[in-house]
Amino acid sequence: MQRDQIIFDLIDKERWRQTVGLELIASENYVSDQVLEALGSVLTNKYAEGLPGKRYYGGCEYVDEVENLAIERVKKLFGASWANVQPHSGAQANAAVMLACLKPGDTILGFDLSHGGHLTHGSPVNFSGKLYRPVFYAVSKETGRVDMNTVRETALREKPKLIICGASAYSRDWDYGAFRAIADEVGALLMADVSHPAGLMQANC
Amino acid sequence: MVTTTTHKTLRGPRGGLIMMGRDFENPWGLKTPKGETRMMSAVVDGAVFPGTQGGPLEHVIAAKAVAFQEALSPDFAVYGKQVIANAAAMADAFVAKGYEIVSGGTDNHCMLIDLRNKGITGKEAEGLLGQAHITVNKNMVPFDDKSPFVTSGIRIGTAAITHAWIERDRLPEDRRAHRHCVAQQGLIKANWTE
Repeated sequence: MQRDQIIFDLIDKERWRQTVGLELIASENYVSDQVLEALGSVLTNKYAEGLPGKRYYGGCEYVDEVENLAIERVKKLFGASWANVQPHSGAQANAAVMLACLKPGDTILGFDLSHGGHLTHGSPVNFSGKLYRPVFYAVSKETGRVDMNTVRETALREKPKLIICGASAYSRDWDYGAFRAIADEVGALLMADVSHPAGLMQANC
Repeated sequence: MVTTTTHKTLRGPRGGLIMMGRDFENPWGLKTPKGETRMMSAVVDGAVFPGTQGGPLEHVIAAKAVAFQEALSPDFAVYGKQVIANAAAMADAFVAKGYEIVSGGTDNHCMLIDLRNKGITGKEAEGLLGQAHITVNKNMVPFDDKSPFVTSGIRIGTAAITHAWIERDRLPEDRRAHRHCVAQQGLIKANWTE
């Protein structure tokens, strides 16, 4: 097979861009060589629908071990009792939780996109805003911070089935305990999307 | 329930995951074929596959496993502390130059800069910084009066640049010099001395 020089030349240019430029996009990072090595491995050839030990395909003995290790390690990292490492992206993870917890038309309460929230937290252009009935909380004009009183008032008024905390552009810590209390008060499930600070939690321990 | 991507501050491959601190019985009375109440973990597992996805990306899951192992090391907590310290220092520097940071500062790796008092849009700032090989993204600020394609702000974060600094010795000398040179020339060309 002839090497696809066009694509590899472009990848080289991107490598140059990433090493010479200053990367300040808040959602990006550089992974280690061993993470890249795993990504470029033969595991991409394997079909493994299902979960470790409960697959719909044969030949899964090694990918089962890999997936079990991923689950065990991430549970240890975050102190979780259960994890699913299969979502292809954060958007897919949120879609799965909403499919599990909601029926079409149910009310969800999320952080306003224009105040720092995420598309998948109820934006009208996203499945989360099309399939469900989104209502939003926002930041206070005076402090620029999420005002927990308005979160609670909105939750009591709108009776959401799911409350979402987390953001794509918010520079302050979240009061997860206060969200938990509000969710319990209105009988909602709580989803914390920690995509942005996930790697900082070990530093805060 | 906790969802996250794995490729931001967590420094893993592009992907996602779902976790629960404590599993619980589903609140809607969904039963297994044997008549037992299904645990929420099983309901969410089913919502991932077959609910919203087909085959998992096992090469990405292997890369996630590698990244989680890296994140369990003491070095990773040091990295996280440095990311937060760098963001705080950067926020202070912007405030000292008269920039408005939404909420006045940062507790994490990022900040949202409101450019309305500087007479420049988010789109313009992203373009000018791009000429200097400084990559940021334009972003709406709270109560923004501009469209999402223009915006009044930029979002900045220190997760990538902090890792690049930690790994700086692995970058060839010529590229290291080039990095500073390119940024300076770009800013001069863009006539944006601030």
